[in-house]
Amino acid sequence: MSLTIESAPLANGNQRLALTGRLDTHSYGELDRQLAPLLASGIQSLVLDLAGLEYISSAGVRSIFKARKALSAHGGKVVVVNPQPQIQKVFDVVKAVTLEEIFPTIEEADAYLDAMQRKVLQGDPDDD
Amino acid sequence: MVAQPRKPAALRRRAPRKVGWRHSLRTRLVLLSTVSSLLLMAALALVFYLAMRGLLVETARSDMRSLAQQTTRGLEAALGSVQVSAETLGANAAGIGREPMGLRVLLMSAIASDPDIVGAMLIIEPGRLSPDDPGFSWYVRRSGEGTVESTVPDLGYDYRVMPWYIRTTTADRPWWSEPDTGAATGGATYITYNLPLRRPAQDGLPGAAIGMVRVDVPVSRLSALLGDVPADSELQLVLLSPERAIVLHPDPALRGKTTLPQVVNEGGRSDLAPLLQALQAGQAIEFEHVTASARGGEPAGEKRYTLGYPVSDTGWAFALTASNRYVLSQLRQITLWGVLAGLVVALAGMALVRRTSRLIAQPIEDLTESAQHLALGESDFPLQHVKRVDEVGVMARAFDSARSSIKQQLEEIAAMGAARMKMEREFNIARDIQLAMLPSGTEFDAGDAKVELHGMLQPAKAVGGDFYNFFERDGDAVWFVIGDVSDKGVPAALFMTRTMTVLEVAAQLGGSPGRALHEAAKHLVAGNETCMFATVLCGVLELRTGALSLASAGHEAPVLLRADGRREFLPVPSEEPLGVAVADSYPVWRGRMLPGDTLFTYTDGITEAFDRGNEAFGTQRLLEALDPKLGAKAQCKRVVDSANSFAGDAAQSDDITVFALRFTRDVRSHERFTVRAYLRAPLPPNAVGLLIDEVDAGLAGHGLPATLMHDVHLILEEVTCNVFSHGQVRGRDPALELLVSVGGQKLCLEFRDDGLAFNPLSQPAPNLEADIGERPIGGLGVHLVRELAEEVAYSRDDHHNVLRVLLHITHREPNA
Repeated sequence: MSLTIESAPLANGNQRLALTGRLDTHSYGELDRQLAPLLASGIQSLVLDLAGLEYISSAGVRSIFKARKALSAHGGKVVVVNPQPQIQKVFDVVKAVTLEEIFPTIEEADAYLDAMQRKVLQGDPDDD
Repeated sequence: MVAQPRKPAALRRRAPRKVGWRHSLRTRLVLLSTVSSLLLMAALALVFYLAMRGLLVETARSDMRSLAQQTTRGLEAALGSVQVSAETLGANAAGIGREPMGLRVLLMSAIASDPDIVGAMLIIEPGRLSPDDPGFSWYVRRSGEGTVESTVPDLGYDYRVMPWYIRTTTADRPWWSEPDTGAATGGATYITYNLPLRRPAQDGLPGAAIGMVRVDVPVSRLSALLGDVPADSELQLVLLSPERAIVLHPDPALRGKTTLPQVVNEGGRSDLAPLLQALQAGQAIEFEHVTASARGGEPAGEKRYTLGYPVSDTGWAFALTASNRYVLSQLRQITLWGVLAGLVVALAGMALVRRTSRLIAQPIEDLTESAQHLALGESDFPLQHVKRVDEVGVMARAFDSARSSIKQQLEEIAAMGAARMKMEREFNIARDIQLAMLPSGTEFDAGDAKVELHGMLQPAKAVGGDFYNFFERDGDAVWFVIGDVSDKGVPAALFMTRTMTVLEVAAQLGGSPGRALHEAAKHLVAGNETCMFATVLCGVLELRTGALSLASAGHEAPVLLRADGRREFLPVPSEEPLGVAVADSYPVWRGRMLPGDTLFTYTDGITEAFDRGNEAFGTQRLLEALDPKLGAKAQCKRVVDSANSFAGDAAQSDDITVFALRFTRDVRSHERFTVRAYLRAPLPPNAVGLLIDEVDAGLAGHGLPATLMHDVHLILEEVTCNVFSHGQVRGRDPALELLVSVGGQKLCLEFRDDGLAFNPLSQPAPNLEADIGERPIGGLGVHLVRELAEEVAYSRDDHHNVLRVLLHITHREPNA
């Protein structure tokens, strides 16, 4: 089983990607290829819907890291939605995603991102 | 038993055989000398013949010329005397006038004075002396002893109308008539000389004719002058009349019946035309001609030589002609006799040569016979002619001395052969003893581990310096050794036995193979005056662990043949051979044998087995010959057979020894490894996926929980990616072997790869607490593995990276 990627822009300028299958040493390249134009287009934030992701290895984690690095350069965020337990375990081990960046639903994640954006627009210097 | 000298096969094959007479020296000598003398004689005869021929032809022609001239002179004399008689008669008759008695006396005396004249006639025509003169005619002819006389009219004709009378009285000179046969002459053929009677000359003019005188000469008188030539002679004498009638000729068909012009013009003898022309012109002629037509017994085309002479001015002519056959018949006879005499001489010469050749050929034939007997091995056959002083004697003495030398050498060879056979027998016994010292193949067990050992030795000479040995030590280790003593033959064999004994004692001391070599080296150096030495490979295999330790004293590197077919020469550090010097230490190489692996050791007799083209078997062919499926014994046989078939019929130059050791585990313990999988270059596109599938299939029956399997997958991927991204050696992907075993509550993953030495555990743990902007992206895989596993251990073993990952099995799922 390989990786399937569905992407859909969200209303507030965030991008949603739904990953299904296995994100491993064979499939991470495909994710990198699809992310590259998105990251270059200057999207604000990325919502990864991992409900359908069954397996992730360090190669996959590295792709997510790269996305986080790219977005954090201009204050963006990567948030993860609904990961399965084994995925959660890997994230925990390598501290790939902080707990506050994991949400049970898209809506919650979207709301969180909106709140974050507002904070930035209000010029809150708390987080740079 | 004393071996008999064997006669060379080529000499034994033939029985003695005399040289055939056709090939013998004597026949050749006789033939050669006879043929050459015959040729010489033939050449001489030819020269002689040609010279003789020229001489004879000249002589014969000269003879013919003399004969012709002599005959012509005789004819001239005879005819001249008749003419004189007739002229005397005429002159006297003219002077006497008409006195019948006187005239008769004149006639009688003319007959009497010349024996050639057989008849004489005198005619004085009536009225010529004076108008009334009655005339006178009288004819006298010999008849027997007496004479017959009559008047002319009494002869039966009127002389005044006879052509000869008219011609005589009207001609201005006397003439000879053609031959005639008449009753008046008694039937004989005669010729006449006719002379006119004239009045005395007046005023320088001849007086008028008053009558004539005629004398008769018989042709037989002329033929007597021509001599007595046999009719069948090749020499032909011909008398021609003034009218060129053929008066005398050996051929009766021509004689008196034809004329020369007729013969030339009508008889087809145009070749005689020159004769006719010359005679008509009153000239003599000598010429050679070829008969234009056949006549009588003479064939056409015959060469003839002809001489023609006119008989002064009488009009008569004489011709002499002879065939070349006549001229050369003598020559032929002489030549025939010469050739016959030559043949007789040649035959006599042949007999003589045959007799004398015996003097030369006989000694050579005797020597030949002796040589043939020597070829048959009869070196005592009597030899003749040794006392001679000539070349034969020299040859015979040389042959005799060569024969004695050969005989002596054959005896020496026989003695040497016997000695050699004795030595060979001893060698064979020594070889049996030596081979008996080498252990045959065997198997040792320790728990579930098993080792099969087998060695083969193929000496180049009867005895050799190669050896191998092995024995069990402490119940769970196998000690083995293989060695090659410098040189071959007896010295090597003796040194080999000593080395084997010393090594066995050294091995009993315990410790590593390096220590055993060191101890053995110390013993072997002592008292080794001949500086013999041995290369030795010594090793110990721990059966329970498969741990292998090897030490080398200058020996060839062994081959480790893996169960999966990989094979390599083990880089065992090598020190000096045993016997010359003692190295400070013999370093030990350590590695591990896995079940199914074979350690193959050998001596340089294998790698240096040469074929006819002087090409060595070499290490590459050795590696290729090995087959991981074979047991130790079959492996040894396979390699030796490969080397032997490679060398073909080239002589084996060195001892060939192989020793193989195959490590296995008992079938019952195979469940230790639940999965055994490999990854090697070229890697398939989804290599990790395939590996995971293989492991999944192997572990399927063990009821392992999905979370554990997830961890297993992760670890497989992380370790595998690490190996292939870091382990390349000179651009070559490493080979990875994965052993997965399930035992109790433990799941063990063992990764073995032959890539660059790399310990992933030595890498520092990634700083996971750093801010996302500063965190390194790599290093996560190893961290993951460490976190997921209960235990991770790295070791470097025999050029392999070995990573063992132990996982705890929390529970089992019965329905998996």
